Amino acid sequence: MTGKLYGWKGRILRVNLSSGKILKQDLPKDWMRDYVGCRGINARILYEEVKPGIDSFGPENKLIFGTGPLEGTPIGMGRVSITTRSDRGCIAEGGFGGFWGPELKYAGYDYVIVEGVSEKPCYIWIDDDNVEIRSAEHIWGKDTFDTDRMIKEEVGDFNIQVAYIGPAGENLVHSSLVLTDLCRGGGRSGCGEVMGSKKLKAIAVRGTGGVQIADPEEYGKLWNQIFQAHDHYNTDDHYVPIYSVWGSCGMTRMFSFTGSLQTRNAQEAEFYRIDDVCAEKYFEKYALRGTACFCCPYAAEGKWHEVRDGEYAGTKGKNMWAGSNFAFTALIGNANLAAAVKLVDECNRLGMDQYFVAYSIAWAMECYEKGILTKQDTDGLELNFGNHRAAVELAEKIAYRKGFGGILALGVEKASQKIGRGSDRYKLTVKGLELEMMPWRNLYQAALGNATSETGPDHTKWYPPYPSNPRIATPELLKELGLDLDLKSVFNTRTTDGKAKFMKFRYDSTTFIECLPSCVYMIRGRLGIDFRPWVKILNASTGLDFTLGEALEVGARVVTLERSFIVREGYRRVHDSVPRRMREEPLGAQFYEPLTQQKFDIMLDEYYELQGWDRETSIPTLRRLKELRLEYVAEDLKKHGLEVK
Amino acid sequence: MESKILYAFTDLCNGCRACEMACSLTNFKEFNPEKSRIRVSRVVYEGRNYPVIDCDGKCPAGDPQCVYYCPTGCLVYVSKKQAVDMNYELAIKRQIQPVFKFIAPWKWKYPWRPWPK
Amino acid sequence: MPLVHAKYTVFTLVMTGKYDETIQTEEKTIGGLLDELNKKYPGFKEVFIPPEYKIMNLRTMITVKRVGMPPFGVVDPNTEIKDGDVILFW
Repeated sequence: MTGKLYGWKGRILRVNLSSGKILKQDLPKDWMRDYVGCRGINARILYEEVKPGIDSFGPENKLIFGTGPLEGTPIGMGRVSITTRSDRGCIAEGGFGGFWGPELKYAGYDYVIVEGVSEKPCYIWIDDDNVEIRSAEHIWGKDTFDTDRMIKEEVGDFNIQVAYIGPAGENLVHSSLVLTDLCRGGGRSGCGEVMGSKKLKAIAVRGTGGVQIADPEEYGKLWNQIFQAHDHYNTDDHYVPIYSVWGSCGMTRMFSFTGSLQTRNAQEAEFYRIDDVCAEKYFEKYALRGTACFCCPYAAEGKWHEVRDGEYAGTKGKNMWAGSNFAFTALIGNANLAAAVKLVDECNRLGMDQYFVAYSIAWAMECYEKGILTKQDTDGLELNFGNHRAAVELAEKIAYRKGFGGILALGVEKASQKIGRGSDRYKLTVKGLELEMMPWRNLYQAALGNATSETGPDHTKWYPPYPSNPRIATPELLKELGLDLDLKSVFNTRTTDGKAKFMKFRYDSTTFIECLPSCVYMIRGRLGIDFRPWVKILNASTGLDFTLGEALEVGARVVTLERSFIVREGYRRVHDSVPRRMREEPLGAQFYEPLTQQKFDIMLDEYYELQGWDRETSIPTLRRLKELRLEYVAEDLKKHGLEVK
Repeated sequence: MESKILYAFTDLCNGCRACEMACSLTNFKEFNPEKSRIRVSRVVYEGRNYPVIDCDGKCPAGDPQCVYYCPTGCLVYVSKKQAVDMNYELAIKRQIQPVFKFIAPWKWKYPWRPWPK
Repeated sequence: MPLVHAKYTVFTLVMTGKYDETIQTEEKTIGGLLDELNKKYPGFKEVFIPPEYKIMNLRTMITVKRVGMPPFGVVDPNTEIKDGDVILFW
């Protein structure tokens, strides 16, 4: 690859907070071909530069913010990937949308790598070619809304973009987020607390360049094609009109009806008060205006809401999405929608992940109701399911590590070890991270995806769990694309056949989308099966000639690289597990049987075989590593004493 | 034939800035908001967005591309009288159907009824 | 003559203007029920069975809850409806 670089800017910005040094490096060209960008190159940098067994909160850990060739263009959707080594030892990878990514690209950088630990709180200011580390002592301790405003006032420009952490990240609370644009947050698997450990409060960017692409005419045509697939009237995917206006939270009432809503810490499958707290009620009462990420074709995934009366009057904020609507209502048994909106706001302002807060409160509530926790343990709070006042108070305590909140701030896994008394029977975690919304006993492909994800349960690594409309995904199309999938078996969601193959395809393709980058919610309709437009748009932006096979290989390469990272840290097959509740407890005669270990093992065996990983240990095999041109990984794993078969 | 204007219904704007990208792509073949004839002012602390237009709607691509890519129907290229009528339509319809707080009635092509009380 | 309870959510709620309703119907299948609802709410049936295809979207958009069994998605318009069914249209 010679000549002018299109799509990528080709520059890495490396900031060392211990020494204060700022370096600008070139992005290696062979990485662009093998890993494309964003999550892919992030994983490559992390694997090489972060050694196993280090202290994640120490100076040797690196925090990598990554964009890709499509960033700054409409299809990029402003996605950014944040990668680091989590406190739990596995890879912490998350991302957000918003407008920070495009601004970084316009400033002229693809990657920002933060190393070392600063002595005093600081923030990084990137103004095109000018990069400085400034003091953030006056901002340390402020919530995210204030941080956003104060940095913009200090710089003197309200059009800059800032990525920041809240007080929870500063206090190294488990599952803290890195946020931008007041509500777009990412990195629930451990990125926020690593940023807090480096005493880095924010990264502010202003960029005045543009993004030049190789073939603007072709890009325009493909943008049109992808836009039409998501235009709610022209699309042939029924989900799009719902998603376009209501956002993902339009699904909660349907989830409750089909017994897929994890209620009261996943003891039940439907919430009897769902009609009072569903998206329709939120729409009617509190949501006022729509807000969107960069060039999103959907009208209103994030909504600005205000609570004007009742005991939570004065709450203002944005973005109650599916996770919030489910977590702060059904999961904790709360039937007060204003309280759920208040909790969303608290989490956004304090910089905490909503699933973590909801699952830890739900766990505490179940333990309290079963007598394992008493009022003495909980600082006098009555943690019965449905007590939203206690939940709101507890959320703030978690962020500041006060009292009982300090125990919950360790994460449910460590909190249950600290409390003991049989409380670990009720925890719902995989690899030390709390679950999220997907129902395990109803949707086996979701169970497989969540259990095997390298960061801990994360549905965005393989979403959506259904293939697109089989009317479009005909056997002829599948043959043309070289895909060997049995789509009918995927729709039988409580059987084990066909799931592993489908999830392998989902992992590869979703990872490829994340490497571009683009938003994983964009693969609707035909685009969920036919990835050729994505490959074409990558080629139009960069001037290269990727094929569909190469594209899916990029996805597989990145997944195997991430798996090698966690295997080097000590994770094995046993950690890809099903929580006890899903394995043993049925959901009532009306609903579903448990997902037994035996059934899960069938799917996991098949999945490992398809990925080319060893069945017993999940270590990638030598054959697979050679196929994916990851020989350096094989050498490195052997050097660390691992058996690569 | 009455002349058309490029008009924005600002309370429908969701701040996505697709219009800026469409304009800079059509006119300059690159993606650069500084070179676009339309800019969106995003007041994040209120969730409000205001498109600011410096264009008569005569686009090199024929129909204004910013109007085409606007997901909510906020941007329109219509005559002055039509724009006035559409303002009324929007204000009245969104009182009985909250969907139109987020998307324009002229973009919603499915049948609809007033929201239940 | 089955008595069924129909529930509408987000998208179909906008189309019908109701959260739910109880219907005493003469129809025996889902396809027939859709025809009946189409008379009340013009344009309703087309969303579920596009006229050019005449079969339903396999992405289940109609879910039926019946006593004694887990909820199931409807694939075939000739699926029978029974007295007491709760049907979600989404």
